[in-house]
Amino acid sequence: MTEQNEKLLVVEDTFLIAMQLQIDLKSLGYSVAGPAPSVERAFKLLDRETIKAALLDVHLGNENSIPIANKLTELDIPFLFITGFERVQVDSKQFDNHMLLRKPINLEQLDTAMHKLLEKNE
Amino acid sequence: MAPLLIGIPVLALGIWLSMMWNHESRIAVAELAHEKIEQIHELAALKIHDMTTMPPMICELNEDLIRDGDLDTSDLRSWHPRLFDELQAFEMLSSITWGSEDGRGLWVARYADGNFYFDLKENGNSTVMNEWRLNENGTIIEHTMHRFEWDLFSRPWYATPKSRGEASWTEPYLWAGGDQTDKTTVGVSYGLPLYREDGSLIGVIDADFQLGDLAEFLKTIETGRDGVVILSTDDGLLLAASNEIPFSDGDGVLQHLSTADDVVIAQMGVLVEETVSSHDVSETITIKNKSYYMHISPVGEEQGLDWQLVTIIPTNAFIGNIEAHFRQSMFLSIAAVIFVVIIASAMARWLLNPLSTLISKLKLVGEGHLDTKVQLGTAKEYVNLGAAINEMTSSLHASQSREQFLRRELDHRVKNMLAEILALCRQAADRSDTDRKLLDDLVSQVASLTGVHDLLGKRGAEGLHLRELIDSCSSPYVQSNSQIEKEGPVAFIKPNAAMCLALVTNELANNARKYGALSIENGLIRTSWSIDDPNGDYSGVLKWTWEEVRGVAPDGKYKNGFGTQMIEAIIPYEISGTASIDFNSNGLLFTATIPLNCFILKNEDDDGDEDDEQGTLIND
Repeated sequence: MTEQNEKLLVVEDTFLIAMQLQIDLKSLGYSVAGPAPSVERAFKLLDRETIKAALLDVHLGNENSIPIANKLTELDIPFLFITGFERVQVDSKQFDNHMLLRKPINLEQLDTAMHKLLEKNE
Repeated sequence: MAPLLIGIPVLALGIWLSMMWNHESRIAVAELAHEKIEQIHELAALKIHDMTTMPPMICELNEDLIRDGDLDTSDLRSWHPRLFDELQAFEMLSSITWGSEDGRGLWVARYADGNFYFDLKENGNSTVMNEWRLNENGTIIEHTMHRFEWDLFSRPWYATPKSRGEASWTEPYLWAGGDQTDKTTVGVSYGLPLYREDGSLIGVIDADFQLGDLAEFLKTIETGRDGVVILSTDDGLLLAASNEIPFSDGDGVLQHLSTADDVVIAQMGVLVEETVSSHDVSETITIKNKSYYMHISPVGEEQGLDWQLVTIIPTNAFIGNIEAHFRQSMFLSIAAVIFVVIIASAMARWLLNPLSTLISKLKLVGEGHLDTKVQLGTAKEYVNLGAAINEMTSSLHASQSREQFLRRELDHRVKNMLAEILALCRQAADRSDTDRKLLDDLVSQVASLTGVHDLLGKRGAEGLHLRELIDSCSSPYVQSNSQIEKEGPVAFIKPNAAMCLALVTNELANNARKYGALSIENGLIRTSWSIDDPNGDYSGVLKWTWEEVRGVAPDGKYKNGFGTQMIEAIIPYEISGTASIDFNSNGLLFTATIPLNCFILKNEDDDGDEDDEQGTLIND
């Protein structure tokens, strides 16, 4: 359904959750770049891979994924946020129109969200 | 400090003003002093003028009386009532004397004992003078008569005018009246020669005055304690003084000023002799380091006298008061400044004390004592400030308490949830026939996370010691603690890294239990860690090894399990460390390097024995 070399970028600092997302996305038929636990690693992947969409955990240890979101906006790549928090404290007004998935994320939620994300962009 | 900054300029200003005032005063006083001395001179000169015009006047009067025959030169005895009247009329006169060219003579005199005497020598060839005391009416008291040797021609008052051929003053002489020789004064005589129409001398009429009266007058002049007014001849003989210096040197010769015992008087004598001037001389002189105003003016010139009136007054007689005022004003300036400094210090303390209190209280608040109550001074502003701060801290305190409550609540819920998950897993494992082992692993993994979560909850921000973490995560898989030897310094792990290392330890222990050293009777695992921080700035790593010393030769299943893959992946992923797993004949060898930023730096305050002032993360 999408081109083979186009991948989804997963940015998530918790290893087990990142693994799970990767497994889930693969099971939904997506190819995954990463996952990346930090802004730096995410930028490296953006340079190296062709990314068609991204899933960003808002909080990455001591940093947040806003720089990645800015970069993706610049590159016109669609993305959605993931968070374990009820409220997101970062200055994300500019990203108000972006989807926000709350952890834990089950497979169906993920499927729906990914469809919505990619459709909107096409 | 601030009070001093204010005080010193005030003091300087005070001193400067005092000095200015002192200086101005000195100038004014010097002017006043000169003015005063000039006044003294005018007064004294007037008096001296009055006195010195008297003898010539009396002599001229008597000359007329003689020429008119009222005073008969052939009957000298008849003169005394007339002369007594004259003497009484002019108090300053000490005697009126007549000397006939034939050697006869007479006088009526006022002696120092206050009595009047009449002296008469009717025989020009006699060498004897007869003397009587007169009563208050000028009548001769016969029984008081006595005689003494007397020679008219040797008397200066007679000899000088006679030889000069004109009216003359005698040199001043020491004059002791009558037989009261203990009281001497200086006398000066004026002699007027009388000539017949043919130019031959009839005699000399003389009037004497003695300067005792002048001295008494000079004593009445206000010259201050150490000031002195002196009348002297222009060659320095003392005539009269406002103080009690002796007129005689004791041998009947008049005292010369320059030989006086008093250095000031002696100096004046020198000055008088040096001053060959008919002008006033006025200057400030220094004698023996003491400053004096001095004024010399000639007097008696009109009467042909070369006398000098000298006034000398110590400058401090005038300036003394000024000096005293100056000292007083200096003292007052200093006292005022000290007062100001004390008041200002008290004020500053009064103002700053509440601030110091505020600072110390805010430090307490900063250290987390939110129940601290601030009580500053009694001034309205301080009360308001204290109230505002108290309100702020109590509101902070309330929100902190609320936060603590919520955190405990959350912690409780998480633990509860983990316990529920654990329960669900156990029950699922119990029911399962097929994948029992898988579920057992799940149970142990969740239990391990729960245990670490518990420990972290207990430790809080302090962090969890690596040794505790290993103990906690391996405890479900060991029979005794001695199965795992642990060696390494105290290292407190930050919470996020702790969760990662807990999963790793759990996998290592679980795997060892299933396949390795913990699955055999006397298996032994040795785990050790050390700090490798070559720069000493916590940029280094903690090296951690986990080695199965007495284990079993590993098989493929051990090597390729999910656990080993996860261990090698999670450490680089979550905490940017490195991890590798190798196998040898004894079993598994795990080595990892963990960045020191995953550990909590312990400050000296928190621990006892530190060797690094910045803090350290290890503590044995």
